[in-house]
Amino acid sequence: MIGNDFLQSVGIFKGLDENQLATVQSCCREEQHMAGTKLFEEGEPASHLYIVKKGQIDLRFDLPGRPTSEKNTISSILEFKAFGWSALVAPYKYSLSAYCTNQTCEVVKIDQQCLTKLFEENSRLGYLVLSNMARVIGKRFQKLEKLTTAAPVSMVKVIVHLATCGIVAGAREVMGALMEEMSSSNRSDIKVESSGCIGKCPTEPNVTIEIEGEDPVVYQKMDAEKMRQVFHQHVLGGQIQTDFVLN
Amino acid sequence: MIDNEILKTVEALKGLNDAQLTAIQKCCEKMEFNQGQRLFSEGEDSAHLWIALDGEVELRNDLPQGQTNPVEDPISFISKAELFGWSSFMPPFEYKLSAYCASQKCEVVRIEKESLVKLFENDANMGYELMSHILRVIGTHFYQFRNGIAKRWGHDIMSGW
Repeated sequence: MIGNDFLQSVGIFKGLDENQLATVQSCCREEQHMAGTKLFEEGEPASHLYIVKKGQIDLRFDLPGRPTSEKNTISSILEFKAFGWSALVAPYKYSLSAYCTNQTCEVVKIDQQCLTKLFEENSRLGYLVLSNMARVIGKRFQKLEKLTTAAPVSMVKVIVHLATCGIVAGAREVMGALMEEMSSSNRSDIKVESSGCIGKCPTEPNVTIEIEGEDPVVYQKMDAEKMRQVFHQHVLGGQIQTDFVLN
Repeated sequence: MIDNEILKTVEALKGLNDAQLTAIQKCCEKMEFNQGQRLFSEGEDSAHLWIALDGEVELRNDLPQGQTNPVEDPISFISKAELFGWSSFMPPFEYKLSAYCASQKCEVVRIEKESLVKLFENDANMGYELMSHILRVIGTHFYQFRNGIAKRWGHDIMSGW
């Protein structure tokens, strides 16, 4: 069941009252996808608008005869963010393909016909959502413009080891802090992944930072605060935090 | 004073009734420009939405000399009954391009965005109708921009760069 609390946190539903959110709920359905699953394909009729509930979805262009890759990613969509808004904009066809890039991705799928009908019955709801959507697209436009004009950045991957031992030691809190920092960093080029145990259970939670052209660095006994420090100092600033490195 | 009959020819306003068009009229200001005159500049606060009534308006990038857009030069021409200046409805609420009168004379209508938003808040039907159109225009520009990037990156990958 998708609660109003969740929908309220989604940018495109900002300003909607409880009743309006409840009507939107009636068009929603939850889905889970495994890493690598394609949720929809470029060119397909855009029958649904999506919101990421958990994990990360990459919007990629497909190349004929080539498997998909991170290099094809135009945007990475994190929790509480909407994607597939071609469902509300003519010609109603997805312009990129969507892939789940976390171990599991939870998404809320909103039926386009159901939502459009709601907008026609309640034009205030339609007006609010479309105005919010114009703002969301504007922000993504800006972000993409910055990305294309900025100097090329190295490929960066942050892996949180989320095996049972890691979760018991607090890896979920570490992942939570990382996702928060990612949301406010404007660096959609950084990949966040979850992975299994690295065989050093007493040192969990472990986090691995992979930066193109450099040796991977594994951090040990991480918590939310250390994760924020590593994100800012190492991932964004290039300074390895030797105090937490697993030797 | 802008006649409702003129406003009715604008694609984005076609779904509105006479009372709604009359309300929009009150936010409109008719203006004339000569060839080469600038209507607005790239980066300026986009406080107005515009309609071309007569003549041709050119939208172009005013990048400093020697600097080029990394994807493509987004130049377009706006002619009769077309709406432009849609960046007034999306962040950072600045014009993305500069607009120049490209014909001998240009007759345009300038609609104050703030007044328009107030109208939308009082008449959600009008708001929904117009926002659907504006979103379509914004969406099309975003698709084109994104497709340009995808083509460029795709070409780089296929070439093994």
